[in-house]
Amino acid sequence: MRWLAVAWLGMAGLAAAGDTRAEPWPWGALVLARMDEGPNDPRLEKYLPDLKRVFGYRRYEIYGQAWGTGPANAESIVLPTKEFFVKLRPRGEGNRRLGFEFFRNERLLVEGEAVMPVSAPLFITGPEYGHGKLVMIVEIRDVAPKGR
Amino acid sequence: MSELNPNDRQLIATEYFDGALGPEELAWFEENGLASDPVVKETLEGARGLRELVRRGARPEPPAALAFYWERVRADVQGVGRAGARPMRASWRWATPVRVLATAAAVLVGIALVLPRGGSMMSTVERAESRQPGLYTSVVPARGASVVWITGLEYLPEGYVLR
Repeated sequence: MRWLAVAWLGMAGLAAAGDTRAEPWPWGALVLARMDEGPNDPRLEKYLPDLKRVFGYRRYEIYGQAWGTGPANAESIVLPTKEFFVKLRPRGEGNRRLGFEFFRNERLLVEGEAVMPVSAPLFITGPEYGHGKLVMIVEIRDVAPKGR
Repeated sequence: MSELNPNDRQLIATEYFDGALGPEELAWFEENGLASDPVVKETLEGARGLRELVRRGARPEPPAALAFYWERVRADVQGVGRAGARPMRASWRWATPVRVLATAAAVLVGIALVLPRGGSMMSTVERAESRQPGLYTSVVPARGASVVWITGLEYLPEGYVLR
């Protein structure tokens, strides 16, 4: 059983080290989905399988991206463009349950509540744009405060 | 009509074409000679052309996204039907309830160890609503991400520059 105790302590140590370095911080991108062929934005590589499965478009580009104005455990505005943006605020204990509000300019398009673990994206659909569609991606990322 | 930008003119032309303008708006449209405005004319011609194209076609093709979803629904329905009709294969007989439960428990423990801070790796939308007239919101379950789907948003024409 000694190896088990060593492994357990090692994992606990790693987790503790990760907690001191990382800080959950919201990030968002306004994505333009299109039907035409062409290269996808490499920054969206992680999201492409889900984007393609959910929306069915062929090409995805980032129109704008931004980090939130505050950490995930406080009120934060993710403003990838001035026209479309998301306000987040923590609900309840911890920073996983968040209230979200998706705006176009002054107009509140949708508001709700979501449990958002780190690295688990939330997609909010925007309007049709030309032959494509706008999609807002919101995600909580673990980041080193100076590495943002 | 110089105060109207091209996007406004396109929107008005589309509403005119759809018959969505009320009597006062229609009178205003005609008084201001918007029918002869180049942007309005171009938009109306495009809409008429599209209508003709759709009417001439033997069978309208659904939009790509709709076809995509329909294909998924059909595949799911067929998949359920096949699974229900198929008898258990001999190679699956090892999967006794005890073994299945033990395997599921082991997988759950593994997931709990791998997940950071012991939580789910997917966002879960618990509530989403739009209080704006004409906007409807639904939450679409997806494998890797939660999706809040808003319908009824205004169409943005190609080339529209977001601020």
